[in-house]
Amino acid sequence: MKKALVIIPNLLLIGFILIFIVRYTNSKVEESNRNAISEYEKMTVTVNQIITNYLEDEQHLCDIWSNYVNRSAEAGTPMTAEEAISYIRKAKISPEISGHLIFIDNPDHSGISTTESSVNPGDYSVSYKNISIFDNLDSVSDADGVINITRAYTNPMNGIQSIAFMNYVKVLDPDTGKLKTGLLMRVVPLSILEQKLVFLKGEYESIEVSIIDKDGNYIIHGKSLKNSNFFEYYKSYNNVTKEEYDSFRNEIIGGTGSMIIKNSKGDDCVLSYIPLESLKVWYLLAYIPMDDLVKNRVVDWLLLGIVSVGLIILLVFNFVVLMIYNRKLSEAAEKANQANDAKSYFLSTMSHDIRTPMNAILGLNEMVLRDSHDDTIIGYSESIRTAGNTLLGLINDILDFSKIEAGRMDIINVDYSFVSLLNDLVNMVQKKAEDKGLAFNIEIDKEIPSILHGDEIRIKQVITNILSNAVKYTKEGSITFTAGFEKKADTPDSIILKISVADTGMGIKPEDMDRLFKAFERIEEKRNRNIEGTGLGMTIAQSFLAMMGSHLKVESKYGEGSVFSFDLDQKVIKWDPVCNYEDAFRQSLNERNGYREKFTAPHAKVLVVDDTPVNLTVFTSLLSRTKIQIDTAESGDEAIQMYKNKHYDVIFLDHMMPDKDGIETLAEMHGLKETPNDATPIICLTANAISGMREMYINAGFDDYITKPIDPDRLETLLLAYLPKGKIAPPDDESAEDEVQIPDFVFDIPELDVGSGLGHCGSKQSYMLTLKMYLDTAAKNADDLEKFWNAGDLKNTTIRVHALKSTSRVIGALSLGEHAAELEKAGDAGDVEKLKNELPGLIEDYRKLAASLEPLNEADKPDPEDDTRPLISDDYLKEAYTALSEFCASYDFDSVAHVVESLSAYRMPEDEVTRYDLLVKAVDNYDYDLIPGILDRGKE
Amino acid sequence: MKKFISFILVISMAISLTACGSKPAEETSEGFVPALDTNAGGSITVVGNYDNFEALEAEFDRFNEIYPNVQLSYVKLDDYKNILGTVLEGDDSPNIFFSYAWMLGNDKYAAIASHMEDLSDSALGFNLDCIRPSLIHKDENGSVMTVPVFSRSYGMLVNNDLFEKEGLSVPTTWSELMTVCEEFRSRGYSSPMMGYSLDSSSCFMYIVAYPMFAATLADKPDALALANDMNPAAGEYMRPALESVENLISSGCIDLNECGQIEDNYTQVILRFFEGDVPMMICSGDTVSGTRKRESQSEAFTQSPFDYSFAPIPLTEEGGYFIDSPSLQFSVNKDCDDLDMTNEFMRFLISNEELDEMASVKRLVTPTNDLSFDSVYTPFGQIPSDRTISPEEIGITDQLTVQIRVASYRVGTGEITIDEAVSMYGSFE
Repeated sequence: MKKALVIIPNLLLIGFILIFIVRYTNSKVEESNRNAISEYEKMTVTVNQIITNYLEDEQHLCDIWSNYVNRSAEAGTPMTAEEAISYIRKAKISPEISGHLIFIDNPDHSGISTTESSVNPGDYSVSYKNISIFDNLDSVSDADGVINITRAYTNPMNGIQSIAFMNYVKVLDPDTGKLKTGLLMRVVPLSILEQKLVFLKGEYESIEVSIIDKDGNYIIHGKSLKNSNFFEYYKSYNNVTKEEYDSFRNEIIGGTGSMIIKNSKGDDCVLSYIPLESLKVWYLLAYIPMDDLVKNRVVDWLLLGIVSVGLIILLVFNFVVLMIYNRKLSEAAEKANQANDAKSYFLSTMSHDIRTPMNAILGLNEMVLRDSHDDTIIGYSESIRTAGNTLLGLINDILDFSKIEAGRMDIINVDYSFVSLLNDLVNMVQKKAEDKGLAFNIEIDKEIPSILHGDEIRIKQVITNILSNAVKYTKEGSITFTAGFEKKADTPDSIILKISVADTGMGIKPEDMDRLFKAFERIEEKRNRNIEGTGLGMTIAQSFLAMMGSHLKVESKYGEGSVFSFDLDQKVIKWDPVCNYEDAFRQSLNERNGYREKFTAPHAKVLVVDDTPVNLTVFTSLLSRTKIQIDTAESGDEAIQMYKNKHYDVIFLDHMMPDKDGIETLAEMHGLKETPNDATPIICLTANAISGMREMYINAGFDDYITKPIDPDRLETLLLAYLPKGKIAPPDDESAEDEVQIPDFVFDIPELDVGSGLGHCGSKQSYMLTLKMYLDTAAKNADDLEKFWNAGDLKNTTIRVHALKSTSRVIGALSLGEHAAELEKAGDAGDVEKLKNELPGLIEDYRKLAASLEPLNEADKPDPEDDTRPLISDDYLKEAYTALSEFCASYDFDSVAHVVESLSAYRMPEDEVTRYDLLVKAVDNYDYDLIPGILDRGKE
Repeated sequence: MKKFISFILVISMAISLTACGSKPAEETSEGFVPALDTNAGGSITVVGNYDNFEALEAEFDRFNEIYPNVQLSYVKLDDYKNILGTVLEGDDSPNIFFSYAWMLGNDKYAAIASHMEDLSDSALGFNLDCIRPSLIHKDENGSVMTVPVFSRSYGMLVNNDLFEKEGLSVPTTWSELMTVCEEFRSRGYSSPMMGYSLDSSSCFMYIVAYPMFAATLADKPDALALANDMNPAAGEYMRPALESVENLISSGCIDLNECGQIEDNYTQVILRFFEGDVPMMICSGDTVSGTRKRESQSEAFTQSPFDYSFAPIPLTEEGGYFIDSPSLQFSVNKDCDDLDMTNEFMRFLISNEELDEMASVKRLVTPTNDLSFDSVYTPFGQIPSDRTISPEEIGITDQLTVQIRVASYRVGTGEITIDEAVSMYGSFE
């Protein structure tokens, strides 16, 4: 795992936690701050009340003074100014508080003070001439309870900053004897008011209380609020627009609340404001620096820092632990890789070791198939081929699976003929099905486009796997292969190919469904242990389908059968419908030949290098009909020597060789200069067929590669690609096996399955010969059968029925063959009754089939005019008959057959034709005991 | 990967360090080294007659950065001249108070003077050399009882952008002034020069006449003695100054009607200048101090700001005069509480940096030797020393200034003639 995949999520998590902490603590702090500010506002209200109470108290005392003076006047005994001051001097208790009686009408606003001047002892006169505190005297009310107060000013008598409470009094003017109005002032040092707020210091250490009038001028001036006007102060230190400034003013003198402003240092401060009760034109401001009111966030940062470091330490710790575990995992993975490498090596070795002998087996068997005309031998050979191919299939399954596991399996889309694909499938499966006595039904939608685009090989492999499984696991009944399609609305040039295979096999239990696609798992292993297979087929099929964007669907009922199906998107290249597949298949059968070389190249020279002589033999044999000149070498050194001396058009070089392997040999060849083979393509011949081998060989310098066992068709295709075009000639007509066509009436015989017969016989020529032989012997065999049955010879009857079974199956008369098989079993079991009931019917069917084939005799009669063979001489014919008699007498039947065959090179005189035909039939039917009689008839 | 982890660790360490709390580093003014324990407390009160003294309050803040536990406050006293003595005698007497040179030697203020500390005492360590010598008043003993913190001058605010727009140069001689005014008038400026004219206090007539009168007396000790004695014979020395006032009005440089619409000698003078159509506004340096704060209050200036400066009025062909006079002085109450801390604050304040800073905030002329700290005052820094006049140095009394102030105002308004004014010297109040 990449380290980043561990670290990044951890860091994101840490980031998330830190952000959460910051946001959470911030929200808590903000909430706390809101609460603090709210408390602060409440405190302001309290202060407002305290101050108001105090001011009212002071005003009340002032009013008591003035009332006393005024009551005296009202009582007709007005006091003079001196008497009033004298009264106040006695009435006031606090020495700090003084009373001033001012006569506003005096130009210099002078009057008398209760206390003497601090600088001029004995002087009680006071003047407010230069102190402008009486601008709003009009608002001074003599009503009780109304606070009439000055701003803070300098007491002219002692220089102390003070405030004064005022009320009007009527005093007697001794000069005029009339009452005159004076302004009685209760002058209180500002410090007394400040002392009233001392209680705040415990909770709000740095609070400053100011009182302003509606213009912002300070009545009481807190020290931190600069300027003589609060609004000017606000404007000086808070960068606001005119609108904001106006809004601020309206808020302060119009409401109650708090706001945050900047002080002269640019720090945030909380300003709580409220109109003074009873003094609607004055406003209380409570100012405190924000930091002194709200919680300091340093604590939060400390928390954040500790959490950050803690999380990072945790991350590092986890990372180290993870690294340690990763290292152990790496070591384990390394071991696993080594084991996997060992597996690959094993697969490679196994592949090589199995394929090498398989090359010899299948290659030589191919030669047997090509060259043998003995049906028994051909039958054995076919069995070898089938078994060999099955073994190869198993190996290929394992190799495919290893490729899929390694992710090296590619889907290669090509244009393909759907009919051709069907042909291959049916050919591959039909025989197996019929061998097991299963009906193989094909239902093909006639409208399926004929040319599609897709990975033909993999599709074929998938369907083959399904069909093979169906055949394997179905004991009786049928297998139905269905192919249909749907047009795609969104992509008009594509179709959905719908494939399904239904069988009447054993079915799958619901609980086994999940295991169906697991590699190396075989359902009901014990029950199916006799069924060959690796358990990979379904896994591979499912993997291929997944790679092609599809999947295999299974519907199954245990004991009744299964339906495997899948849909596949396929691009359409040609919309021509496949039409009637049966016709097409029949046509393809007609066109199908036995082996025929693709080309001849008598002037081409090929060098093949392999340390196993039998492989060299196989190779040369497979190409014998192409007439290519083939040199062989059994070692790298020998090959290099030949490489230096003679030009070759293509070189096939085995990989695994002792002493000097193919890659080393190739490297040495490429290292040589100016040889006749500088431009010669060198193709690797290898039994290594596991994934990645192709890349390895191409990278090693090979031009191409072919695996062993050698596929003859691929070998010729490869040569066609690499041989110089000028050296390639069409196949010799002479070498064409035959141009035999199966007559149409044969296809029309319902009892015959031509495909099956062709499958058994390998070629049309062989099939036609077999059919002819079947026809020729039919009458006699039927008679013999009847004769043995009538004679009560059960043993020979059974032997004849066995022969009928075999020959019928070979020509594709499957139902007849099956019937014969049943009666054979009855014969073996001594079931006379069954034979009695059914044997006549079997013989009748046999004769009926033979009658259906009778046109073969008509068609087979050679036209003497067309026979260009030399007429046999009488001497040679006589010599041949003599030899036959002698060989028969000595039971040398091989020589008999050889002699009869040698006669086929000659045209017989008309009077000898019949005898010759009888001889051929006798040989073909192994009726050697008839030969002396045939020869004797001639003598007679 | 190692780099990445290191980076994360460094970030986390940085966060951790931040989290451990940070205390603002103590910043000290360049050159100022605290002489006392910076944790020491104390309370310093400065009293004066300024309604606002934000420049000083800014210094309080700066001083608090060094001495955070010292409480400093400014208190405006009502009826300052009369009450100061009382306040100084009180129990809670201030530490520093506004003072004026005329208080010294005046019996009426003898009690106040008795509280003044001799600031020239070398033991105090005050750097008086940073102040222009002409502004420092020394008594016969060489003692310095008051220290200037602002100086004052007289001149005119010049709308430099308007001059540039009209393709004219700021005049530096009397004839250039006449020419420029004529040019402006021809281009529709009805009053190329303006100023306050509704009463004699800071009226433009006084601002024009006083420098001329002081210059006339500067090199005539006898005449100065007569003038200080309020001798009517000294009235003749006012004539050149009064003629200058009359010439400016009669030549059309100044339209009295236009000037009459300016309602006060401070804010309205500034706001009228900020209207942008007045090439030259006659005023004192004290008025200039209000310009910065009122830039934002003027809608016209906010919409169309322009470059302006304060220049001497070119009353002669040699140019104008720089009347270098203290505007505000501080004295230390030697009988106050926390005298050591008070002297520490004064030592902090009396420095080029702090005095310039305070003058910059207040926008008054700094008393230090460097006049270029504020571009508005740059023209005064270019005046040669022989045209710089220090009324305190030559001995002009306050009463003398009253004579020229009232005389020039009454002549300017046409209330009296120049001859009448000359003859009335000594009688103006």
